[in-house]
Amino acid sequence: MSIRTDARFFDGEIARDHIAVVELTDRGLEIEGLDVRQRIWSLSGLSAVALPQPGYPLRLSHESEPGARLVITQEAFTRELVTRAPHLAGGFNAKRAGRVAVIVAVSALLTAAILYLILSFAPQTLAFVMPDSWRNSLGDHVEAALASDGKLCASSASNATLGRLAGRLREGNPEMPAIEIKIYDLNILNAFALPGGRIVITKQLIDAARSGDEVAGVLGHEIGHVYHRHSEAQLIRAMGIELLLKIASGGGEIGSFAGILAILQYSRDAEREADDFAQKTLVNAAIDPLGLKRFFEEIKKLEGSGSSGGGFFDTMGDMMSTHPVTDERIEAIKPLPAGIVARPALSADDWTSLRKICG
Amino acid sequence: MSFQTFGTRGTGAGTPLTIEYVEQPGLGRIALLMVLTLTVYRFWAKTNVRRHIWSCVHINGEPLEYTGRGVELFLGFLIVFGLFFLPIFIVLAVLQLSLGPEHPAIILANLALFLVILFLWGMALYRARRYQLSRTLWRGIRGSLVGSSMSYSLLYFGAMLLRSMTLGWSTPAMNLNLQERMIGDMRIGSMPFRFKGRAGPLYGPYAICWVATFVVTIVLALVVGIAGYALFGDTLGAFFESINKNDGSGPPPDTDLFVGIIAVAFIVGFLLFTVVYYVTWAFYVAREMSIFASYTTLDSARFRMEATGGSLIALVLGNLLLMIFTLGIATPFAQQRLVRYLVTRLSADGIVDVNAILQSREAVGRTGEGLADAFDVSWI
Repeated sequence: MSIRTDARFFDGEIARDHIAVVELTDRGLEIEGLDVRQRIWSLSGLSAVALPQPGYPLRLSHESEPGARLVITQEAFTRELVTRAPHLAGGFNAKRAGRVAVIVAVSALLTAAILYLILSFAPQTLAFVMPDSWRNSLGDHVEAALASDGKLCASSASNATLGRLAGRLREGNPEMPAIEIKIYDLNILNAFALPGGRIVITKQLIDAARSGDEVAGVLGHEIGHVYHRHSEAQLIRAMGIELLLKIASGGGEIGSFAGILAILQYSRDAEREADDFAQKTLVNAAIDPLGLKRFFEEIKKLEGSGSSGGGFFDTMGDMMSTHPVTDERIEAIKPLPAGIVARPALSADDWTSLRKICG
Repeated sequence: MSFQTFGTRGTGAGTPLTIEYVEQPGLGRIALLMVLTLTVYRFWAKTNVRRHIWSCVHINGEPLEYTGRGVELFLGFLIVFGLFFLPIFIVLAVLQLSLGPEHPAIILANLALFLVILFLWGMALYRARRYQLSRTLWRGIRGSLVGSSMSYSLLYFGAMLLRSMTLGWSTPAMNLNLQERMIGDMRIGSMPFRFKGRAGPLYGPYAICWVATFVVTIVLALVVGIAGYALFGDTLGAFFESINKNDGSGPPPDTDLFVGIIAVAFIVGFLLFTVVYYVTWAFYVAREMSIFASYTTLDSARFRMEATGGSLIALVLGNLLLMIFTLGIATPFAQQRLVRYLVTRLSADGIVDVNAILQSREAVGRTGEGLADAFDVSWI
C-alpha cells in the first residue's frame, strides 16, 4: 500500500521552496515535483530535524543530500511514515547506546590515566630532574611561609653543635644527601623536610626529646624525605592539582600555613620509605635506633592523651598531622644488629648546648 | 503554528520579512540535563539547547535549524586547551618553580598573558559567531562569516586600548566599527548583510549616561559617607580619640569595629554603584541596539529593533534571578528569554528576493568555539 501527500521541498541549493508530491512506498519516500527532479529517499537514511509532534509540520533530511529538507504537514501521512520508520520518533537505539557506552568507558579510562600521570608518576620523576637552584628557591619560599611567625634559633651552616650532629649521621653514610638543619622556635612540635635539603626542627621537638639519639633518629627520618625528594614531588603534585582545579573552576592559591602543611603531609608509602632510610642510616652510623623508637612512642602517647593542645588549629600543625605514628611504624624500627656497638649521637656537652639552642 | 504559511513561496520580485518567536515544548527536559553542565557533557547539552531555541525562531514562517554537533564543540575545547592553556600553565609552573612565586618575571608573564587574552577575546567572539552561522540553516541555506578573525581581533584589541585611554568616549565610534565589520562579513547563503551609518546619533545617549554615572557616583559616595557617619559617628570619633591617646603599646581597642564599619560602607557603596551602573547603561545599550539595527540591511529590507532601557533591565534582572534561584539549571530558559526578547522586538521593512539566495560556497570548519567556550564569551 502506498500513500501520498503534497509537501514542500528545499533542495539545499536555493532558498526558494518547491511544491512536490511525496509518495510513501516500499522503496522509501519518492519525491517529485514540477521543478523537482524525481528522487527516492530510503527510510533508513531519513532523519527528523526535530522530533515529530502533533500540530507541528515534520521536517526531514536525508543522508544522501545534506542541505535538502522536506516539510510534511499532513498528519495522517506523518503517522504512517513514523510507523514504518520508527527511528524518526526517537526512542531507544541499540547501536547508538552502544557507541555512547564505549565513548564513556574510553573517556573514563583516559581520565584515570591522566590523573595517575599528573598526580603520581610525573611529580616523582620531575622531582629528580629539577635543578638544585629551583629546589633552593622553592625551599626559600616554603620556609618563609612555614616559619614566618617564628624565630630562627640556629642553622647547621653556622652552629657547630648542629654541624657535628649532621657529621655524626654522615659517618658510614657517604651517599647521604647534602642537608642544612635549622632550629626554629615555633608554636608546634614537629620536624619538616623542605625542598633543597633543608630540614626544619622546632624547639618543642628538642624539648620533648630525652637524648641526642632521639633527635638524630628524627633527623634520619627527615633526611630520608630529602633523599627521596618527597617534598619536591609533593609541591609538583600540588601544582598539578591546582591545574586540574583551574580547568574546572578558576582555582585558588596555595600559600597559607595550612596549605603548606597539607603539602608536607606525605603518603604512608613516603613515611615508610623515610623510616627505612632512617633505620639504615642510624645502623651505618652506629647510633641506637631505639632512640627514634622511644621518641615515636612518646609522640603517640602525647597525641593519645590529647595534651598537645586545645582546638583543631592548635593540633593540626603537630607531629601527628604530618607524620602519623602508628604501631606498625614503631614496630618496624629494629635495634642495632649484634656486633655493632652503639656510640651516642651527641656528646654530653653538645646535648646540653642543643637543649639551650633557643636561649 | 506555521500551517498557514504553506503558500508563502517567496517567488517573484521579493517578500517582506517577518520574524517571530514560536514557542515549542521540550526545553524543560533539556534543562534537566544541565545538571551535568560541569562535566564533559556540557558540549552536548549546549548543542541541544541551541537546537531547540533555533527551531523557535521563524522567519517568514520557516524555522531556523541548528546543525552543530556536541562533538565539534568538544574537539574545539580540546584543541584550545592543548595548544593554548596547557602550554601556558606549564610555562607559568616552570617559572614559578625556578624563580619563586614572587619574582618580577612572573608578574611580567602574568601581564603578558592578560594582554594575549585581551587580544584573543575578539578572535573568540568572531570565531564563535562564524561557527554558529555556519551551523544555522534557513530554508536549507547556510549562514557564514566571510572575514578574517585575526583582523577583527586586532580591531577589537585597538578598541579596548582606545577605550581606556579616552575614559570610554571612543566606545560608540569603536562599537560601530566592530559592528560594521561583524555584520558586513555576515552572509545568508550568497546574500550579504550590509551595515552603514554614522556614530553621531550614538553620542547623545552616551554623553547622558556617562555624565549620569559620574554624578551618581559622587552623590553615592557622599550619601554612603554621611549615612555611615550619622549611624556610627560616635564610635568613629571615640576611635580617633583613642588613636591620639595611643601610647604605641599596640593597636587601639576598637580597631576591629572600625575596620568592620569601613568594610561594610565600602561593600554597600559598591553594591549600590553596580546597580546604578547597570541601570544607567541599559538605556545606552538599548539605544545602541536600535540604532545598529536600523543601520543593517539585507537585500532591500532594513531592520528595526524596538529595544528600551526598561525592558532590557527587566530582561537581565529576570534572568539573573532565574539563574540564582535555580543554581544555573534554568540557564536554557534564560537564554530562551534573551532570544525571545531580541526576536520579538526585531522586525524588517522592505523586501528580500528569496529567489536570489543561493547556497553558501564558504568552507565549513570542523570544530567549533574552543576559545569562546574557554573565555565564556558566547552567551548561548
